[in-house]
Amino acid sequence: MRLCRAGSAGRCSVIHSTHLPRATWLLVIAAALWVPTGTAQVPAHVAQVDSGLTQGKARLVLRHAAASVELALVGQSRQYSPHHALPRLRQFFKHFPPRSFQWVHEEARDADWFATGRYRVRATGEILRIYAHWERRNEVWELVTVHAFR
Amino acid sequence: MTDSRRLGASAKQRQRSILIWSGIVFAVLVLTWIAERVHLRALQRWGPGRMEQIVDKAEERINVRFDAMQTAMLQHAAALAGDSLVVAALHDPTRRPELVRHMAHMRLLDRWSVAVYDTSATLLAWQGASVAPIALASPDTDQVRWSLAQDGTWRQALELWYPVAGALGHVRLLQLLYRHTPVQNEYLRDFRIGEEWSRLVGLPVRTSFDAPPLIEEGRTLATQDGTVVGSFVLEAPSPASYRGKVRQTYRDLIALWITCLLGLALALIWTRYRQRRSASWLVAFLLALWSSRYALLYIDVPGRWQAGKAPLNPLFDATHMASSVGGGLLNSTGDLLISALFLLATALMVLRFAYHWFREVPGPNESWQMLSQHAGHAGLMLFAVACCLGMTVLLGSAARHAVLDSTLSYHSREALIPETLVWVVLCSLAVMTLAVVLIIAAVFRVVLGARLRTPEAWQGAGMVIALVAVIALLVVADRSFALPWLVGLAFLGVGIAAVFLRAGHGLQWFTVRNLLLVTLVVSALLYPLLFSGLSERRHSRMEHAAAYFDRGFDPSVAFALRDLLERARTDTLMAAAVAKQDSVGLHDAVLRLHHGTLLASRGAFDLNVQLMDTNFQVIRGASPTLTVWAEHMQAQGPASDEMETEVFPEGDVGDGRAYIGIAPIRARGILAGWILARVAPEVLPEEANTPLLRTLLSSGFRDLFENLSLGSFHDGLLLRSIGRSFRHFTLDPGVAQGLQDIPALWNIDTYGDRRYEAYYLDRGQGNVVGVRASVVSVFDHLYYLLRVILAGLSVAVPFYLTGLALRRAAGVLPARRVPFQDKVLNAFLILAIIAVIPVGIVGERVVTEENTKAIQSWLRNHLQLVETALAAEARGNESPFEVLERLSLETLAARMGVDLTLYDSQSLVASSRSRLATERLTEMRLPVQAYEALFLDRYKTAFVAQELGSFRYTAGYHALVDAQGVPRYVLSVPTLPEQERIEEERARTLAYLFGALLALMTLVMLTASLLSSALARPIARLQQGLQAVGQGRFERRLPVQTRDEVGTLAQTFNDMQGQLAESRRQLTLQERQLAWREMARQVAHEIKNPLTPMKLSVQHLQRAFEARAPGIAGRFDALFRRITTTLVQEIGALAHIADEFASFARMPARMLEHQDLNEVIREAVVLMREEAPSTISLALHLPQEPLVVQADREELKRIYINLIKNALEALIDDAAGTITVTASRKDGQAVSRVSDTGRGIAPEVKDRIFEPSFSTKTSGTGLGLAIAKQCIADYGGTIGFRARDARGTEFFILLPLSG
Repeated sequence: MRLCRAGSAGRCSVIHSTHLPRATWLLVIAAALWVPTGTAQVPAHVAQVDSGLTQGKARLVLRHAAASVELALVGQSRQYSPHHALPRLRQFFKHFPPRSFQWVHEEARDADWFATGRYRVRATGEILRIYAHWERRNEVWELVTVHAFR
Repeated sequence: MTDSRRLGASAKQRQRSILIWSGIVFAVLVLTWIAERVHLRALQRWGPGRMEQIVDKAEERINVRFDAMQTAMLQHAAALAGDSLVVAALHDPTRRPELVRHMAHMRLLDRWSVAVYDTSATLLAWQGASVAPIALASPDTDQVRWSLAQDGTWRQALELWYPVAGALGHVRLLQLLYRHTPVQNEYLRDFRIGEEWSRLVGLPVRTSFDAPPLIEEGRTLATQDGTVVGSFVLEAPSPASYRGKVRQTYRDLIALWITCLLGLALALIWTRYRQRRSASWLVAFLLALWSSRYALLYIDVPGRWQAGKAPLNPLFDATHMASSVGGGLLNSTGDLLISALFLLATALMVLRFAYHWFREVPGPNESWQMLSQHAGHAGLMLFAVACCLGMTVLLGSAARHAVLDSTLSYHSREALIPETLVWVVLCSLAVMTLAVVLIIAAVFRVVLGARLRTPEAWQGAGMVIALVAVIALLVVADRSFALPWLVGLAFLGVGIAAVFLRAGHGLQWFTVRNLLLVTLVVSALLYPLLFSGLSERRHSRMEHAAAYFDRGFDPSVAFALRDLLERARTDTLMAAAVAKQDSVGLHDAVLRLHHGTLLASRGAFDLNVQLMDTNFQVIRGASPTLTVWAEHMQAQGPASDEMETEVFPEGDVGDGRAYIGIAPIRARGILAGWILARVAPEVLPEEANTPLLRTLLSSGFRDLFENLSLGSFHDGLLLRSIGRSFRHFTLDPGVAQGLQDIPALWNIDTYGDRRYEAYYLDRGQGNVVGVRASVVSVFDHLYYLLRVILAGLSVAVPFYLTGLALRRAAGVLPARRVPFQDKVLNAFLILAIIAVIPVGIVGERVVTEENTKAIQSWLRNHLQLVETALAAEARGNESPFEVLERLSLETLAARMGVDLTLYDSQSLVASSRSRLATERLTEMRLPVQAYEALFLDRYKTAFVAQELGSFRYTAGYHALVDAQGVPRYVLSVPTLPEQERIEEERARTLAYLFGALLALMTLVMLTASLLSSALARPIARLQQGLQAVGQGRFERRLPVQTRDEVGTLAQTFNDMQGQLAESRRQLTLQERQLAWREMARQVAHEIKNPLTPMKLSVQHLQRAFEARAPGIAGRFDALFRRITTTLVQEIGALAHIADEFASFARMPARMLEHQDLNEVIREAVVLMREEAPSTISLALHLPQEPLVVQADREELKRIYINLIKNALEALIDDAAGTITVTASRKDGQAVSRVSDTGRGIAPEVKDRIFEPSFSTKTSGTGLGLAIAKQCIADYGGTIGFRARDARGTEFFILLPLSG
């Protein structure tokens, strides 16, 4: 669930779920400022990763990955080629199969898009934090970073 | 039963056994599946009580382990406390040095450390790391005491105080329980004993070592004396996760049965293939083989059995190497190895089939002609070449992805033999290369073995088309698939050469010599493919580094900081601590806060946190940078209550850009204070100019910047840089000009004797980013090639051992004959190995020793320089050590350009890199070995091997002594920038050494090959000459080409051969004469035989005429007498002439007809009765019925006449005698006998009676019986005799009855 979206100026206030009325209010304002059509649609690149993480499909997550992807999946952060990132992410899904996933926070800047989310592991119910970072290159949002950490 | 039938029956039997086994395995599989179902259903009925039981059992095991740990500590401490040396040292301080030496060489368990204190808490001796060594005070009781020791948040240890007998002091033993490192990388890892326990019980274990325990709900960890030192919590598995684990166990078993079934299916198809040997069964087998491979990948075998288990787990971990290309064949390092083995199996099958199908191996001499013939079939050639290039392209792709899709350090030059996983990758690729070469050989074997016929007129055109097509394919492979055309050509060449090189038994390839050759060839083929991947990865890294360097402020850092502050803002514990201004609680809250944040996950940043009250007065944390910000905020006055989290860039700090963030902390909705945080790049590569500091880099930085230099230019002027290579302040004009046309440029930059591969990226508006890396030198190529060769050799070893077993099974080992050439080659090989191994070992030791000396020399020089600098700083009579009391160590270190650590007699006093000390990355106590050398042995400098995580280095220690020569301080240089250069020098020297040895070995083998060939050639010729002589061919003469003993031997052989030829000629002549003579005698004998009856007849006629009535004799009578007399004389003359000219006569042609033996014998007897004297009785006994035999009538009659004549001659001197001739039928044979009552045959001549030329008579030729024996043998009969001891002789003839 997206609670906040910052303006292009680089300022973004993160709203905790306990402050829901204010969050809703700010969300509306942010949406009004940000989306010209007035409709807060989930961008395709975020939706794809969302589906991938929800279904545990690595290929979907990495469909628009950059030439070098930084992965830190409950461990050290490393740069991976997309061909390498795919089996690495599959391995992660094998060890931590998803029960559910949802975005908690998103933030966009000029050529960067950040998002964090909650990933619940199927077998243990453990919750992992997910961090994703996209960069806009040649008018395409490319996934450059995915972190999963406790 | 024929062989094929027998083989068929054996194969059927084998197939039946395979099917039976398959049935058994399938049944077990089904049973396992049923058991899984039943077990899981049973688990569903389990209540929470059962889970508690599991947890209780696990807790029990952990307690037992904890107890065992304490018992081990107790035993060791007790042993040490009771040691007489310890007691003596505590009694008598002068014996302390002995104790120090003893403990310096004591062996301790991992993560243990030990120390001995006297009653006044003075440290006497120690060994290993120490936790909280400063603040300790030994207990004054004489009881064993357990407690917890800790160094801030960095280390915690279980502490045991054991009293020495007589209350003289204490032994302090520590077992490390927890260690936290500021960064996580390949060297540094956190250690938690809870993780060990977790592996032990298979459940997540959380530990907390605090007294009282922080985890209230957990089980307490109490020592043997009841002291609580911490607690642990076992996370009970949820029923679902427990079921999942059980299910996983069953699935692992099912995967095992499926693997067995796949193996059995392959075995079944293999037996079928061996029975039929058809292409279709080969295809079926290969399909089954690769289906099995993918099935194994699908069920994740054997990776699933390794998950989480050392030591094979890293092999199947996708973190290190994995690629999505190839459908999972490169899913991990282990999978790559297994795929390589499958490919090798495929290649061997295809090769075997190709050679089995086309048994005739074309010789090298025919090759060109055959190629020319086949070239006519341009399509076939094209297909073959395309297949082979396709295989090579696939291999190249595998090699590239093995490099590009990995995080392995292929470039590391720390040792000639790289880390295990890189080694496995190299071995796998070597196996794959071998397989591809074999497949190419098989393809060309089929093409050449097909022996297609092409009209001659088309051959030339076909050849041209084929050549053009091959060139075109090579170019396509080069341009489209990144396979250099030379490499493609090399693969084709080696594959084709392999077809012609193969001769004799295929097992011959498993010899040391051939495997060496194969290894060299395979390595040479693989290296360009591998290097292509390495080069691409290097370029990709340079491009990525340029992009990262160009970014400046990293918005992801701002995001991570904001994430941290948001957590802080909503953290209730922090809010409470801020509200109460509880400094300690705040510290814990900040640490807890950092854990689990995005910033901690990124792990490459320095975080400073400052907590302030509502008026921006600092409560906790006093970073100078942040204090400035706090003061700035204080100056601005009270902040608005509505102010939210803010993050903003601070400005340039080194290369990276720091961010400042501030967030309000509210307690129950009311503003309680502020948290101010600053995040900056933690350690930048430009600072990490020593290997020691590089170990403190997080892995992300190592990936990105290691061994690179980066520079940023604006309008051609250098703005900032990292690394050492961008020393010029302006951009090269050539590069600037080049970037006018293209946005990015690759270039080779040369500065002095250094060459760099450079990448320049035009960012527009006059901004250019440059990245440089040292060019790959010939040395680098040699180094990496050596690694590939060594990997190939390690693959060759199992091949050789397999070959030994196969050759032994095939009965070719030990070899029955070893060619001389092979013996010479083997001798040279053994000689080379004997020479190379000691040289290699000694060389490696010498280089290592020299390297150690060089490092020590550098350290000593630097330490002496530091002391000289201190002496120069000294005022008046100040000693250098006194200067240190007023001069900051940081200043001194910066001046000398090295890191420095200062110790007093035992403890660390200061460090130029305070982080090393505060984060406990360096020991707080002087290593006991250094103490021993400097304080006891009074050396000026000492060197001690140290470890930082898993990083090993040498540290130098230098004593600063007072006027009496007593060490007052110890200066230490942990490591030097030069150490890396020295290490690289060592690697380089070793590479050259081993490269030279390998080249030497190759040269020796080549020389040996030529020499053995030259030596063996004349011997082979001599052998051929001897074989020719043995076969009777004397015309072959050996060429005498050498002037040595072998040449003399050849000359002697030729002389001997000439003599032998002459002897042979004379012998032949003699033999021929003898033969003619023998033939003449035989012919004469044959002529004389008919003449005798003629003579007898005439004599008979003469006697008859004389016997008529007297008185009628007249003129006729006289005439008749004269004529018959003349006739007799003439016949005699004829016999004489026959004797004389027998050589011109011929044996009569034999005419075989059915003859009645009775008649033949009767005629012979009638004739001989006339010859016999009246005193001799010639009896004849013949049966009534005819005895029909197949024989020449005249020849048979002559045999009987001969026998009767011999009998008459045996009786001639006797007054009376009897000759009996009989014939009868017996067992289908005609048995005839001629017996006499004569003198018999002397025993000494019995054996020679049928020999030609043997006769007891003076007038005989000795041929009669020999000819008789030969004739009877020709008729299929037998002739023999029985001598009856001076009572006569009986000759018998057995002839087969006709019809």
